[in-house]
Amino acid sequence: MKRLWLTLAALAALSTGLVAEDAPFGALTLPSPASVSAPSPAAAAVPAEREWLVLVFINGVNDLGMLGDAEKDINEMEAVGSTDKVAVLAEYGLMGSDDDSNLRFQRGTKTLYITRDEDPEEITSPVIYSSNDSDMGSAANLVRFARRGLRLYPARKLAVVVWNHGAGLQGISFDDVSRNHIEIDSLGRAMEEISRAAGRKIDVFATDACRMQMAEVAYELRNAASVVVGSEETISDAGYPYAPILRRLAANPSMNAERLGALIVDEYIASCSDNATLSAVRTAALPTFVKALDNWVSAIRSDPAALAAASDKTLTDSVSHFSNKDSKDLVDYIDKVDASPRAGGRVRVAGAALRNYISGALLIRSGALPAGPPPDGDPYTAANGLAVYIPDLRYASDNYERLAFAADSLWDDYLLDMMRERLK
Amino acid sequence: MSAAARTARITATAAVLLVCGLRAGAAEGDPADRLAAYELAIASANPAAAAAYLRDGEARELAQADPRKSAELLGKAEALKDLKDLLNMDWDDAKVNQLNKSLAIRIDVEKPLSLLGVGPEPEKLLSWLVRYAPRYPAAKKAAVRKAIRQWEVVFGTMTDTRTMKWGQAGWQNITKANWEGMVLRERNAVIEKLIARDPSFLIYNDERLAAEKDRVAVAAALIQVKNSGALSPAQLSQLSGKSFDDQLYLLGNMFDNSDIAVSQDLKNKINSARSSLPGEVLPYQQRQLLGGMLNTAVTKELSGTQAGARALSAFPGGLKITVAPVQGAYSRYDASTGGIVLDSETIQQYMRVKGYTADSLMRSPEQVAEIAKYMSPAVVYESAHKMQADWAVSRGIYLPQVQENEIEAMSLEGLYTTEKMQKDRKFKDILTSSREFSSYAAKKMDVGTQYQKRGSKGFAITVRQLYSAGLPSLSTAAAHVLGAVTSELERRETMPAAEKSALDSGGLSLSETLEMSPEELAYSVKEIQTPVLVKIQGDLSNLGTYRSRYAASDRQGRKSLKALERGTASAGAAVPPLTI
Repeated sequence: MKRLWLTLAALAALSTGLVAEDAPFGALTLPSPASVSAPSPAAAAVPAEREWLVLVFINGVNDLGMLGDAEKDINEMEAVGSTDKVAVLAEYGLMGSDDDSNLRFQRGTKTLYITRDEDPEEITSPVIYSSNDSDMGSAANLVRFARRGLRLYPARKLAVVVWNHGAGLQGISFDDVSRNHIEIDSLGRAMEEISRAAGRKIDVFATDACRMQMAEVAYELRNAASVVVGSEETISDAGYPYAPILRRLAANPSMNAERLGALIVDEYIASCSDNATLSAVRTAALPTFVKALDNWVSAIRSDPAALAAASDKTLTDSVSHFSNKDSKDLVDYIDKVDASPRAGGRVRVAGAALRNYISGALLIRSGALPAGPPPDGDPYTAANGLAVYIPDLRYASDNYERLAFAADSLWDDYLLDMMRERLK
Repeated sequence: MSAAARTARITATAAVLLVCGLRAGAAEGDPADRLAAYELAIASANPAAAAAYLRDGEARELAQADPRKSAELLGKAEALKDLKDLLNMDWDDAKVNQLNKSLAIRIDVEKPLSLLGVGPEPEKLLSWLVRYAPRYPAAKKAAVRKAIRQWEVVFGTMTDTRTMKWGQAGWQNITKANWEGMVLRERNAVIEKLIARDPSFLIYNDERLAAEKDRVAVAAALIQVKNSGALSPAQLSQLSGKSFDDQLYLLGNMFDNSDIAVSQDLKNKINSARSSLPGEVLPYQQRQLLGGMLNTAVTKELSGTQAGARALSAFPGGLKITVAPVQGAYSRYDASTGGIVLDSETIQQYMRVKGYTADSLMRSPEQVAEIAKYMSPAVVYESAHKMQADWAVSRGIYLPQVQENEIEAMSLEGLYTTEKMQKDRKFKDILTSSREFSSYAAKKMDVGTQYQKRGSKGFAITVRQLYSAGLPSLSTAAAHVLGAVTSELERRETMPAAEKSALDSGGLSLSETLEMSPEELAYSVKEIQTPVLVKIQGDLSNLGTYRSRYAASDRQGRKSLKALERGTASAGAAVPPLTI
């Protein structure tokens, strides 16, 4: 594994007034809060408003950090860096191991102002803030990072990316030292807090993490973000291709949220050879989507034959699912139910309306490559941009009932009906 | 007096402090000399000097002449005294993991004790013990070594390298030298990974060990049911090939829908451990309704008890209960709404064992009354948190999340449970019969028993050791925050005016800061507005304000407990709310 060197480029130091530091990984302990005096580039003067502020919360305090994926992605960002129109900030927490595979912990976190360099091996962006609060599984930490970015680098539009392991409804950003992670309802509250701090919705919220593009997750973010980008299936080891994404954003900083969402989808899919899914959801369409979903679900629940068909284990087992088997492709499920001879006309009409709404209004962009040979389990057979929770036998009320989607839609009632059917 | 003579006297006083600390007699002579001696002794992490300084009002008043230095010295003194108090408790092998939690939040990077040389490497604590607590019994010293996860204790003396797998990153080495550079939370992170592959490490995590024991007990119950001959071949076939959790779930459904002749005890064991069946789940709309019904039912339940009356007084407009999943707890106080959230999973577990469904609960005032009885200790407990939050708001001060809050809340709950167990037969039956299958009921009864048996002083130690070892004490929190705030204020004195101005206008505000835990606050000082830091420094330099409140609450609790023991607690004798 490559050694990580954190070097503050002399040029960056000159331009920002920062003091350069050069510390090998083994010495990557943070200075005490009191000893960090480097001002941010924007702190000393009234900061100019840019077009975009891109905040990337990189939790490498787990095996991903040890694999070097975190620094690879930061180096990709440095291939473009920030510009006078686009500021890119990364909050960076890490654990790793040295050349002899001896485990090492980095203590604390750093906020990097991403600057351009030509070196794909070394991180040279200046540290504009460091803290001993090293819990990367903390939603409060994520909010503080965002507030810091908003304060120091004001911009007209805001993108927030959470980089780490994702586990769908089980949450995101798993920190192996604090043993915390961000639950979905906490994520929603955190994003709402960031949205309040920004004075408007986050333009793009993206998860560079596995299995997060579920109806339930997107719905939790409906009041906080305009566009939600995520993957139904696992994300590749390389993650988002930050260099081309930032390059295109820097070249056209006036692009709006939906264009950036679509761009991330396109570039990610283009960077993979197989086993890749990514989509961008328009959250303004979520309330109507829930109505259409409720309409379809009501049609099924009012028709015992349709309910029996839709609950049938053979049918649900045939629906495309992802590496978490309870996470299934919603459109594929609608297709399978509607194709059942036991589905009545009302179900089919409501199903068609729902399907059309998802593809025509809810999804801004959806990309998928065929599933590759999986390490374990069945590969997905369809990925239409949005997954939904369909358990096999037991309904996880402890987690699911915490979600706004369960409170506002009929999906939870439908799942309970389905689980009743399974017990017959 | 010459400077040399004064230095000699200060050194001599410091030496006395080093040996035995200053008691009453030592608070004599020139306060300035004493202050200098305290500074010298505290800088060498002397806990006796720290305790003496905290008692020496004259010296502390003198120190106030330099607020920054005063706050710094106070923080260090509080941290040292707190460490000594912590280690003076009884610690043995059974409580090692609680001690580990207590030490992990005290001995870490940039914590006051580490700045005094007691950390961040945990082994530094052993050196400190040799110097300042040489007479601790061998069992306690062994407990400390195990609590700090000393290499030899965890991995033995035969090796200085351990290889382990870390997720997708594959095999990693942990060397003894590496280990000795890790702080406690890092060592614990390694041990957590080891537990996944080697169950012998479960001894380092009480919660996971208890969960594993429960699982083994439930697995035995499952086998017993399957081997009992009470299941039909079709039922056995339905369970065949299913996962452990699926089998429990299916068995629960079979209990509900057929006559399976096994003991109620076995049924309870299975029903309490399994997932809820669809009819037992409380969906959102029904939880809303239940919350409303519980407001009335719990109010009735609390009325007529001393602690219950005090809990109700925290809600002048009436109780405000909602029911929802509460991750990792039985209840919580929601400061944003001023209401109490009761854990729906805890309620559903009770319903499963009793055979209630969501529909039957909605239709039956009796079942709601039963749930109200069952959950009422949690309401009392959370009402204390509401009182604390309201008190802090009324005073306009920072309320750190500390053990003392838990001691107050659990004492009130313990008083309530004690009184109800004595006076309310049905309450007693419900909790006693639930104890075997419900960790909630077991804990609530245990809190009541401990409070009654140990009295307030002993109970406070129990709370610190067993129930909230992972929380800082008021002293620890104050020391950490004061140290960080004071250093930051010093840094700002030389900060360029434009930078300071930008920070003071765009930095974290008072309302945002007041919501932070002490740890978050200490680690966020660089982003907090200067006037807010000054305010926090002032709040935590005056711990007497907090301690007076906790003491008043404690006196009230003791008085109530005595009245209960004498049988003079009259029904409806409301304990007046604290006005401290």
